[in-house]
Amino acid sequence: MSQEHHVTETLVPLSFEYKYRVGQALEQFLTALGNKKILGIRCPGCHRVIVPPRQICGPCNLEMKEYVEVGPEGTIENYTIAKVVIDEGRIEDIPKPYVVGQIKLDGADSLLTAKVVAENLESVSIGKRVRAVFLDAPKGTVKDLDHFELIG
Amino acid sequence: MRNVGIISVGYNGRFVSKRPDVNMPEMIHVAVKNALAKTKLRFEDLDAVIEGNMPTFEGVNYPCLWFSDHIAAVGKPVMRISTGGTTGMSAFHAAYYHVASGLFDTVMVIGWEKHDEGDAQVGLSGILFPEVFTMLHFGPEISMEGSGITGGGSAGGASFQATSYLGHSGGKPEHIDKMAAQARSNAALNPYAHLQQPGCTMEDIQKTPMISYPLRYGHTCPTSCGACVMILTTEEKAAKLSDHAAWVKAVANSTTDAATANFIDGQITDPADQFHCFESAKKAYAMAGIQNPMKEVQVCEVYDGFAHQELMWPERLGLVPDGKAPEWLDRGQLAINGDMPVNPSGGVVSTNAIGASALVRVAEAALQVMGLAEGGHQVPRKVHNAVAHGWGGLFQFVTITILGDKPRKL
Amino acid sequence: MQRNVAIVGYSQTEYSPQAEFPRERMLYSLVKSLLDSLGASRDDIGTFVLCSNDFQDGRTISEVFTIPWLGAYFKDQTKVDLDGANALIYGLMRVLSGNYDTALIVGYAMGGSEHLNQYIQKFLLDPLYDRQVGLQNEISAAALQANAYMHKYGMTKQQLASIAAKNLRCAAKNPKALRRLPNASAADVLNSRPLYSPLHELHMYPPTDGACAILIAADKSVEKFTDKPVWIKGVACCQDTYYLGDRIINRCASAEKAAQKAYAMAGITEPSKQINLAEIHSLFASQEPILAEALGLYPEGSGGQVVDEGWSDLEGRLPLNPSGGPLGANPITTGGLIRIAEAAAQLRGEAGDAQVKNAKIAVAHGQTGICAQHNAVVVLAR
Repeated sequence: MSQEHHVTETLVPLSFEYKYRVGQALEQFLTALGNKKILGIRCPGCHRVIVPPRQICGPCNLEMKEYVEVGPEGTIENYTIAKVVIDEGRIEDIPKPYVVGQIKLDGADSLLTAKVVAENLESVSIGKRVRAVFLDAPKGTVKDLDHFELIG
Repeated sequence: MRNVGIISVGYNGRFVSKRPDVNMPEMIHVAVKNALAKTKLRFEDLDAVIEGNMPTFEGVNYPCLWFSDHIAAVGKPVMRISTGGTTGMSAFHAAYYHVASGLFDTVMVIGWEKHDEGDAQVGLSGILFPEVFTMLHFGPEISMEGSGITGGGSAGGASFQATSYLGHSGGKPEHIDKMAAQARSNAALNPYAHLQQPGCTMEDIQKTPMISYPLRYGHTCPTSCGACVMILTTEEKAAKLSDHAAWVKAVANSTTDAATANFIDGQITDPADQFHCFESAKKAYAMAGIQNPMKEVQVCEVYDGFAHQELMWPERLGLVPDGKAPEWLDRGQLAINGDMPVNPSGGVVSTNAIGASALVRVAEAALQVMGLAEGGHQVPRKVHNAVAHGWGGLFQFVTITILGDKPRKL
Repeated sequence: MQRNVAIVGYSQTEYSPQAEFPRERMLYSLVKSLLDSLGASRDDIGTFVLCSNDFQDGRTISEVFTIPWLGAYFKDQTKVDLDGANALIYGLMRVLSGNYDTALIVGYAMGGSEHLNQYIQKFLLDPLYDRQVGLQNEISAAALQANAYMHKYGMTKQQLASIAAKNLRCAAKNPKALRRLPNASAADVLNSRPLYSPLHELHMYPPTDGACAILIAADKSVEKFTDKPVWIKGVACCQDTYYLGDRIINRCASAEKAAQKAYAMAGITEPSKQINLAEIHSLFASQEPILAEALGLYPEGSGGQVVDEGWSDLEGRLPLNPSGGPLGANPITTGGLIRIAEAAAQLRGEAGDAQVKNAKIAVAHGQTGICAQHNAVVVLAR
């Protein structure tokens, strides 16, 4: 006697690679990172300094052209402690939690999302001062700015 | 009921294969700036932004969110439309409805694509691969799917369509060659078109290799990078904001089932039939108050991803008698200075940034109505009515827009 | 508005981590059951406005194969590629124009069975910076937003967990919801898997398969379908800048702006007094107070007090998410459309055990993007 076999699922691996044009503003930012500098950009209308730089200030609808060096120190304005990492969509527990902070770099008005590395996570709090740590050998990517460390 | 007018058309520049110097939002911003600069509109008075593209081509989901600052959208109402090849015109229809509904007065619509950001086959293959993998599991022959996949998923089906069209109309493959040559020559008179080939001849096209009989490389569209932006507004505001307007007299849309499903199941056996196009064109003409399209329409911009479609669509739209397009082509009636100019812009077969292409059909129709088509592709006769057509999905979506030099009588 | 437009019918699938049937069959049953319940056919539908997303379906032009199953063959249809509440707003525009008298809005996603939500959510991030840095995702951003609110207004982890627990208890009364915990407590929430502090798994929406359809009609067409129309009184949407570091995330400016416009259209001057209930598309429990305040329903920073006093409960002063909200079920992309359907059910007295008493005016909300970058607001009344 034959058995009925119902196929209910099929796996379709879809994997496409994209190669993005970085654009003019980010190109400046990446070049500066390679030189261990952080660039922001100032809006001629509201005068705010945005990091990382982009071409347009949305609220003013104006083009920004004035690059400004910011940091490398700043203040933790907000943070969360990551107990998981997301790997290809899978939420995975990690043995060592880490801090994802929003840093207000000195001279900047917008906040930069970055890792804050500290021996003791309890020592991380809003208002603490931090300093940028760059890769010794830059690779020309955003990860040349590796993390922030607590000062003092 | 409210009349809606197009008051400006902006491109970011000529459509090209690659733009390595800018990222997506930077590219689109230029078109936004250009469209706005042609009007007296202030940023504060822009009531809404409508954006559309085919997102899998660039790998960014809901790109209108990322682009917010670059498309004058911060603090504004934003809508995003994505319907495959018809995206540009579906987005235009959404913009039209924003104003026609009475909820908004002045809106901006953006259609764009930046094909150099990913593999050109990425987006189109994304339709077929899930189906293909499923079918492979169940065992149908790869050759059927294979012919569906070549040329990014549509050349296979389009070649069936071309063969069928030639059979019905009595046209020959040479007519497709000739049509492509005309398209590329027209494109040479359009400073924004991608493949500009001045003096292109049938023989030039015939030198290109065959993809899938009767379609050659010379018959197919390029993949282009670029953006098209238009501003729409009300009758009351149009004169204050701009010196030019093209009025929306009709919008229509229809859909059938997806083609590949039918090639395999055999439900739709003739992809050249496209009878839902004819049906929705009738509705559009009724809405526009056009009784005799062949006499009352002076130009059309149709969605020709493949050159044979530039012959087929005008027939399906009731602008050329059924089966007569090859003859009309031979007699020069489809040329820019002919009785029924088809795609004076060069069409999709000369420029294809997919998310923009169906919008560009409306933009070019608007430019013709406003008398603003540059570079020599403005048709010589005064345009009272122009038909723009979009096509997409898996051979299934049809969108139609009719523009006129006067607002519709409501 | 130039016409009077009402929701005349709605239907939802039962939400689940894995739908019993494939998408196309699910959609067929959804639309058929709605039309049958109204004694209507697809001939009564003037236009279709769909809502689905290519990345979520793993398929370019995601709607191509759904057309005949939806009854849209040979019909005018289009697709909104944002949260489902925007599809309803577009359907409304099509009807207001006078070109159509009816519109069917259908949204769906198979966020439970077809893909990993967080894999897909990555694609809405800026590929040049945020995806490269790799720290920001939907959950970490929501966590930052939660911390920002708690830091400014002093709301505690206990209170945040209570908000989640409230939603889960309400969801237990919703026969459609997939996550139903009738005795959910703040402790349960805090004991669930930690993600990014202060957020745990039970603070967040579950991966969900499902779909929702809403039929709207204008003027004389309304009475053909129902004698319990839910009138659409005000609609608006608004979008903020994309960059998280450039936004004030302890509040939601774009939701505020959208709400003000929608209320003005609806003639609502004091939402905290005039609105009887709200269905808010809060993907994380921490977004509920932020969005409720943006919608003018509770005072700024009152999130802790609101939950402690029970004001947002089913029997409270102004119930928030009596359906259980997205924490009970959320097929991404369709969330806002479901909120509208739930609000409509409340106004028609069809919410069963989750019925809010004297529900006459409701506000429904949908969001798209990280930390509610884009918000749509719909005001409904009987």
